[in-house]
Amino acid sequence: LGYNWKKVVAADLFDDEYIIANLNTGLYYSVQGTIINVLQCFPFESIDKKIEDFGEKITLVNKKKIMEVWDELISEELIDLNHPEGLLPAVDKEFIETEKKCNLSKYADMQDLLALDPIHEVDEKGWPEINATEE
Amino acid sequence: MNLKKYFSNSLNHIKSNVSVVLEDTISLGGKTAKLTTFSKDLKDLFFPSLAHLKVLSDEFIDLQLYYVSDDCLDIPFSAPNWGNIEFDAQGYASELDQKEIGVFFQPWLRQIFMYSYAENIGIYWVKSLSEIPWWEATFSFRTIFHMWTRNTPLQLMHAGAIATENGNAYLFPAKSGSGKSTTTCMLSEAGYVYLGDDYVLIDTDKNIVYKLYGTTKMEWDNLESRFSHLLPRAINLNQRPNQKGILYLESNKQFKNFASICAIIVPEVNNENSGIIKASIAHSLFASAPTTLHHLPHNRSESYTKIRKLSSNLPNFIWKLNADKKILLHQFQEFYNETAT
Repeated sequence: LGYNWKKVVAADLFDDEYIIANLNTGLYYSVQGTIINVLQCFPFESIDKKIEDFGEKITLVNKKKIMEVWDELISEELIDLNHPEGLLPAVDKEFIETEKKCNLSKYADMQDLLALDPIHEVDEKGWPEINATEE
Repeated sequence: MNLKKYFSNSLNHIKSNVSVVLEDTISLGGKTAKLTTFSKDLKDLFFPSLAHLKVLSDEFIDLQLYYVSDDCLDIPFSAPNWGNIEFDAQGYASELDQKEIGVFFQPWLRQIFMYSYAENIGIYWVKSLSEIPWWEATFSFRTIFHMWTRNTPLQLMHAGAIATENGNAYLFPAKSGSGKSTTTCMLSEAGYVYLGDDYVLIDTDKNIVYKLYGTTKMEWDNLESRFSHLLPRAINLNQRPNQKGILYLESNKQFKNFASICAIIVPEVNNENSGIIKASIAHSLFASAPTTLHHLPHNRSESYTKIRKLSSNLPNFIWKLNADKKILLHQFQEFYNETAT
């Protein structure tokens, strides 16, 4: 098994920036820096091996930062850790040189969407109590 | 929950009503929609924002929409069996977003939007006229129109838009409070054709923007300071300050209500360095997708794909706005001269 984007995730590379949308939660992310080269290789079996594949193109300093962002992507539940396609040979992508630092930005304006609640009380016709709030 | 059964029962319930039928046909993104109600009051409330789209022919109907309230039904509408369905803070519940039927119900409002993807029939029900939130009629049936576009290249977008008389359009996507209304109103007053300031309909295959709503919503302070001459035209002066100011901005009657998009321009209030500069696809996508899909949470995957395609296919810009109308108009005129096709 290997790693890939989760099915509910739309991830696209625009120039040297990944825009990631979690279509379940409505949360959005931007990823910049050398890690975009690693993410381009999905699906793959091992993050360490994938970084090694890039040889000297990825320095030790970069590797540390890549791993920090990688851990954030996992904790945001954007990456499928048990993806069956991980065993397939990955297609080589051209290395993208970028001066941007490895970074994950979370677009959290819509974060309240994560709160979930069922309807607790209804009137005699089955409709919930009302309390209008503007969008 | 069996949404198919609930939808079917609801439709039969409406169709069995014996009241006088009021029908209007509108042109919607090049297609035809028939809007049916039994209530003159409901029509007077919801139809004005769409009235400019009215057409006479109704030979082939792509979307049939019923809009009713218990006030005009012989028997009150039944609620679904909610069970343990969990709603998010926007009122979205994935259990009510099914392949064949879409339902949108915000538990804090007694109104429901339903759509059958197989039959192309939408239903809007509200408990009573007095319970309709003031903003609902400024973007009438937005949720149903959104569901209807799922399997088409059409996409509703939280954006303003203007066009030139020769059919070049500019799209201004942004979240609320970013300057969409101010920008579109200002340009419309300078002679550009107003296509919308809140929601517009886009054909993402052809990069065409269609005018959808004829309504403008603006904070009263903004109306007073920038467009004071429009203030008397607000239709809800007596509701100030509880509602935003609502106006109907008229387009050139000769204009076709649609135009080809030349560029996407993301408005951003920035008093120091005003100007129109090139933006990345990512920047444009961030300005349009989250806010649109926050309001319209159904079919996120399909909608995101369409919005991404639009951002990728068109040139993208940021317009850093200051408060000087003269400078802004000059900036746009220069920009237009450089980009118009």
